[in-house]
Amino acid sequence: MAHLTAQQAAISTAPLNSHIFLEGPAGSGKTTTGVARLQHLLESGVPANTILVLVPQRTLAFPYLEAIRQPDLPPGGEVDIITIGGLAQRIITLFWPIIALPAGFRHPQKPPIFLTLETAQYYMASLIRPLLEQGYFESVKIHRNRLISQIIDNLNKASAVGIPYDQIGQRLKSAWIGDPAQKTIYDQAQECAIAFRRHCLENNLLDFSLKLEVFTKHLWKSFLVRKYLTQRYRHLIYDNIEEDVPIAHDTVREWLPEFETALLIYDSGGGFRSFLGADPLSAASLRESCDESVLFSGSHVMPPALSEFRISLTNTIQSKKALSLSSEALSSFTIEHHRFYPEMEHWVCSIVADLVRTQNVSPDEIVILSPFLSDSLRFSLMNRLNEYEIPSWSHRPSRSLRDEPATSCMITLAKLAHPQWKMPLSRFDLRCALMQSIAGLDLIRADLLAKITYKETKPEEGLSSFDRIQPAMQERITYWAGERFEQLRSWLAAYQRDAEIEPDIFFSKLFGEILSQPGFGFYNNLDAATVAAKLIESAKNFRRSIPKNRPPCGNIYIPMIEEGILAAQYLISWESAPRQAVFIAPAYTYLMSNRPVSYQFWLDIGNLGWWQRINQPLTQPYVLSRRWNENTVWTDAHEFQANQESLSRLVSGLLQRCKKHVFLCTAAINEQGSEERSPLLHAIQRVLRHTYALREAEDGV
Amino acid sequence: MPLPSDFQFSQSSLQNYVSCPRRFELLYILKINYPAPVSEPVLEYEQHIERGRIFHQMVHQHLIGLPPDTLSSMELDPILSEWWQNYLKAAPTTQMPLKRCAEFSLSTTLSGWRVTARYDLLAVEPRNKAIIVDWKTSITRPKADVLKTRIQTRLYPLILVEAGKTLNEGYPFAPEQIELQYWYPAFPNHPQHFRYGPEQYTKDRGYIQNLIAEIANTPENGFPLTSNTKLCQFCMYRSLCKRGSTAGDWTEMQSSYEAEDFSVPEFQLDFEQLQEIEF
Repeated sequence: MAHLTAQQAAISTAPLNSHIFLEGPAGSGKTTTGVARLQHLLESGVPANTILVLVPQRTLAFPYLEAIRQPDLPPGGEVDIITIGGLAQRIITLFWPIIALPAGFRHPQKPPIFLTLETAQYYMASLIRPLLEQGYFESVKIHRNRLISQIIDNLNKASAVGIPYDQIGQRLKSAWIGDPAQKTIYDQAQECAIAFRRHCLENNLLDFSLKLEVFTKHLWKSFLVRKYLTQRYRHLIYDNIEEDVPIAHDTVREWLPEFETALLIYDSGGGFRSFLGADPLSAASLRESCDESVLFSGSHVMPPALSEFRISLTNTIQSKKALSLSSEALSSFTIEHHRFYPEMEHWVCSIVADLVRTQNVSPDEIVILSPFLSDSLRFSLMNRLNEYEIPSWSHRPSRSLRDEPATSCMITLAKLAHPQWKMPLSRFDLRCALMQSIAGLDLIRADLLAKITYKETKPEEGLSSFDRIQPAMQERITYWAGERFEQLRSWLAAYQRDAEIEPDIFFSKLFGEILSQPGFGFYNNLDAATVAAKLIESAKNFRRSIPKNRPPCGNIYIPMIEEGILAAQYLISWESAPRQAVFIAPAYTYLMSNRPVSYQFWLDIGNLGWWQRINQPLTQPYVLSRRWNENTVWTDAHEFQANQESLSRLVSGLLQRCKKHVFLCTAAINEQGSEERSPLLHAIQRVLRHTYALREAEDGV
Repeated sequence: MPLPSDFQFSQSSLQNYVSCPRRFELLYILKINYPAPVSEPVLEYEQHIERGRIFHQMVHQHLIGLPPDTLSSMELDPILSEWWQNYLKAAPTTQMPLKRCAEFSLSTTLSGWRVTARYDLLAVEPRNKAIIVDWKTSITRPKADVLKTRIQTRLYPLILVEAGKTLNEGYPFAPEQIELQYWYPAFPNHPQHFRYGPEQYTKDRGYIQNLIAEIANTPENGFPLTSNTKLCQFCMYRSLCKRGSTAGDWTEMQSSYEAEDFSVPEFQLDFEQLQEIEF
């Protein structure tokens, strides 16, 4: 067990009938206390299977998961560590036969189908396609995929908050004061949400929103289910409650009296997931349901100098009295200015290299953060760090698999194997696929092979044989490459002689029988194997979520990937992340990993992305929250205030997770080539101006 | 690469090690996700696995009190329907102790590492006896002497002795109080029973401890490939190990019981994290 302060020890060993609300800032030792409490319960003989650890997001469960796997724990059952969504899915699966009919599902005798975000997007895309053709959302200038995800987001927020799903549009409209045409957009978004929900109920499909609703409105109210849950779980540890949604808080509020012990942990500066429906105020209201409330202060992570900087910066953002900084505070951060973005990237990587090489800092003690992480930024940083031989990894939730060369290769080969799909395939696509498929094949030879063996105008003919190429050209391409090409071509030809199979099975066989064999591009290439695995999993999820008794679905699946509707998945899950590598991520993603580090680099602090919320014409996180008064309209003043608060929370959260030093980097010309000056940059400048003005005054200058 | 400090052993991981140490290394230490087919025909195999999953789930639902009539009204394919009717007719749990724990996990520490077991059903009469039931949805029924050597047969009773006291009014079960039963819905009249005892317990404990120590002390690249190359037909790493290109027939895999637990944990997407998507 970690060394605990007296306050932490008192909570972790509190009597076995206590209901405690523990709050404090990040780094004050709350989760350590939660873990110690879990260990104490187990060591006191509490059956592990009666303990429920609830967290709002899987990444926040890691300290608890690690704790229950330690060999010094006593033998016994297993603790359940889960999110409210995970619990909902588990209970729906278990009680489906008795709940499907009352919950309104059309075919209760058939099993439920849980949708992933991507399969939900597929269904939503299918439903709105005819509406788009009729002119819906005509004035909205965003990509169709973002339209789809925002309608799904509306449903998720409504269920998370407890707003009836058919009142989303009305709520959004009543807060709107701009162009009246926007109200039509909200109506149309509402229509799509209703159509989607009906389709789900007709077909036993459960997206995240319906899963929450079925759990809270039906299962939680069922005597049998409640008896099952309350008998099963007698002890609760609920961490990071401020990042969870109000409907989870409501459930816990009702459930609390049934628990013998409960420890609720609240991060007073949190609420970073508010754009996903998290509600810190609703979380804080659970304090009243506990017998005891304990406040932690101070930080075991952030040094006093950074703490001083945090207070001054957040005060300035919130337009409170600016505080000047001491010399120690000034030395806790570095501001580095560059004119061009690549210069800034180069500087960041050189400093990282210096920290790792000269100062022996472990790479996992360093994070590089930006408001958003574009593919080019990610690629560029990882490449530069690679040149310094420093391992790095990135985690961007919305990164799409379709952009991966391994995915493109497999899709191209799928098109070649299925000429009946009549999907366009360019020579360029083929060239790239051949380079990926055949180990060591260079661009020139791949281009020659593609040019000679494939006719874009006659795709039905597929690839012609290497044997038919003139010997001089064969020699140029090399017989070695030709042999591999022939193996690939023969495999595709043999496949075409049999009946078409489902896309995931096709990809799996393609991978196993050809691409991962010695001499081919995926052999011993674990990154390509990981991408292939994700693609296959995506195709499998898709196949399982659509009705059975139909022809193979490759001709539906492939266009969905190419449009970016499907396969928008994580490339690296948190669990399989490299343990000693520099982490490159959007700032909010880093915050939700809740992992303090010694050094943080904030890129392009002049970027408005640090401050303003992204354009979401179909949704509005503040209006679709429990805090919003329905009789109010959303004004620019609200928007400004919300952005200020969110910036303040963000910088505070980041600094509270920094153990040593922050590098604040600016670029006069940003990634897009324009000049921006964000309120974050202004605030930092104000803090410095105030500090130096005061010093000058004190020095009598 | 050493085992991560929070590594947990299970019957599945230990069986994988016994079957092929290299596979253990690739799957559990290096965590390589290698998506080649495990067996053919893929859809038939998948359907079989799914049938097994649903059968386990229905029995779980039955054991927590959902009415059998309601469960019987679910749409089931003919094979699953027959399994379910066999279960209802044979009522294998009727004579068992009334304290029932379905889908229950226990874990303990052996040789300094956490070892876990997930039981389909534990039927317990505190201070007297405990029956471990495992629903076996394979299409063949292996002989008792084959089953007897399986890691599951040796590990499950052992963990119940070591970690089951919370189910036994705070007292550890004595080995002789434990029975393990494999129940086959396809062969409802031929369950396999294994009585446990102190001698077997001592033997199994030593065996599992040695096995774990051996794994933990194996250096990187010290995990050899199996000498039973037939198993490679049912392993997704076959191309990485240069042991073939095509998957074997799943019905053959079923008839060779050794291969059945050459099981693949599914690399599931983290659905909850997907909520983090940028809208």
